[in-house]
Amino acid sequence: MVSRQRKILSFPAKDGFTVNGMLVTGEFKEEKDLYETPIVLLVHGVMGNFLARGTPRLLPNALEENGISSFSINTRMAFMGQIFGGGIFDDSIMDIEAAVDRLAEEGFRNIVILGWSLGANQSVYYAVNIQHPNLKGLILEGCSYSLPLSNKKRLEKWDSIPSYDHIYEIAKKVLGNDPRTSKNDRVFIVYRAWGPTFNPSDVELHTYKTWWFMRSPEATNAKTYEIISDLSIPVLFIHGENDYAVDPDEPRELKRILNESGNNDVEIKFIPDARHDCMENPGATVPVLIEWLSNIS
Amino acid sequence: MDYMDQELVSIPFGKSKIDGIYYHSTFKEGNRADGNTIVIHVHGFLGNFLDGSQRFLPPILAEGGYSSLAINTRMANFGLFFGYGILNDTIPQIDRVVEYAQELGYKNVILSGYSLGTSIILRYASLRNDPRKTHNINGLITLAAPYSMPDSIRRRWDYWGSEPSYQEVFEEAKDIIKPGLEGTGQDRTILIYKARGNSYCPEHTEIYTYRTWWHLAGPEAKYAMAHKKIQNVKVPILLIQGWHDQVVRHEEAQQLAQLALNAGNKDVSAFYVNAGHTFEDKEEELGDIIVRWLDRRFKD
Repeated sequence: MVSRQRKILSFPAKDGFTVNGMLVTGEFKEEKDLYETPIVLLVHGVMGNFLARGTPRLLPNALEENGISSFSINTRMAFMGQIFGGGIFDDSIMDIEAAVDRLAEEGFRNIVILGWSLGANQSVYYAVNIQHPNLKGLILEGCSYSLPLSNKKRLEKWDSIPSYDHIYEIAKKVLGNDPRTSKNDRVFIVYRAWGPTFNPSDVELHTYKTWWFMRSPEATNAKTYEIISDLSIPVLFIHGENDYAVDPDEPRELKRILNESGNNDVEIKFIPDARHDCMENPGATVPVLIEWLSNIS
Repeated sequence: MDYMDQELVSIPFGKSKIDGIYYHSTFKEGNRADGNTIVIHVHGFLGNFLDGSQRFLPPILAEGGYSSLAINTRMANFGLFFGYGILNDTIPQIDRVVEYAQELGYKNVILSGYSLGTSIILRYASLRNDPRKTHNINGLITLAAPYSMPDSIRRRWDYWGSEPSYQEVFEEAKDIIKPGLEGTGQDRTILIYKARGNSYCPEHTEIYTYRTWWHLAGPEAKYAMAHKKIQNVKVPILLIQGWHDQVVRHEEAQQLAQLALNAGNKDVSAFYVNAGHTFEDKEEELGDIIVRWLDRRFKD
């Protein structure tokens, strides 16, 4: 009998960043069952972490109740990564890479990444760049068509201060010709980024460099529609029917791009009575995931 | 590690939860396992239970026979940025965590705080200093405790020429949050450039809302003034301070210890470690000091 596990693991990405993760596994009759059963690698959303409300917090237990293990990680985008400069979108795939490698080293043979919101866009970028033989599929929850486009639309909707275009102009001046190596960076606040007030709850915080690689017109790798056609593994989109942050047409369009590129193992499921977080309706979400995972091996 | 079990816990707290990691010491050698004593660790500025002393101390203490509970309060992570990280609001959270530790069967509950966390635990211990009450604690450990958080922040901002200045933030805060008329004022997130160094770089920037600043760093943030709180603490106190701390001056520990002694507390100890604010590279030494201090007072 392999006993239940619930433990925190820490390990380095290849540039030395420490990734923390929470491994949740249930009881298995034999060790081979533990390693053959799919394990879900969970990647959090904007400023999230593996205990953030919604999917990161709720899904591991729900999966365990259904015999599925999970490994939830904090990437460099977790917590304040985007605020203090360490959370560079492009670099964050090293964290996912380290987590997949770690699971594979442990012996897990069927790994599925579930990326939520920002984590979905990170997961796509990882999977089109690094083809690990043990990675068997992606689940993309609340996946935006393009992080830069989402940001621009939202800031324009609420008439943010400063505006999207103004941030872009300042970012070019601050970061200069080579944003990647620029030593010059600065934290900035966007008021009215999430709503119509100046209250802290409607504010967004970045550094110019983190914004550049995640949200700016130059953030090529965060424009998921431009890179997703290279994805050849099975994909499941799950999306809240009432998602206010990402329009339901966005995953539909991403699915169309995948199909046109020849990947026909792509499903999309809309979750009723859920907004951006599908675990607002676990009764609908969990069976969808379990059924899809049952076909992974 | 065969001398402890580690478990992620979510402690029910009203409609929410307090997250933490419970490190249960199972160390038995030489009758080391105390079993009755637990140390609750409270994080520093923007910290959480995965960082710094909250992360490195529990395994060292577990090897010494002491269990730990490292928690996230409402001031963890970005609580200060979005308005809910108010120091005094952590008190009910600590109450609940102390209760939880007692529910686990621990008779001796020790609070340990790092930097900002020392302000939280000193405020707590000054309030809960009646041993006849439920939320009784048995000792305090402060790591890099500022004599007064408002003074410490003001001094640092003045030193680096922060933008805006301490006085400017104070004036703006009065306008925005209308202190004394709680509930009628607004709040807003603010950036302080050159708060921790001589540049506009992110690592030299601080972020608050006017309200969180007011209650932690403002001149009227009385709950964050350790020198006023430590005089009401009746339980044994261990203060540990780095000689080369760039954030808290080394004499602040001695001053705090003296105030506690003058107020009649007969069990006050202060130790200095050849380290900076984070105690980097001195983790084992720090742990050894704490284990010895605990052994003398709480070992069965």
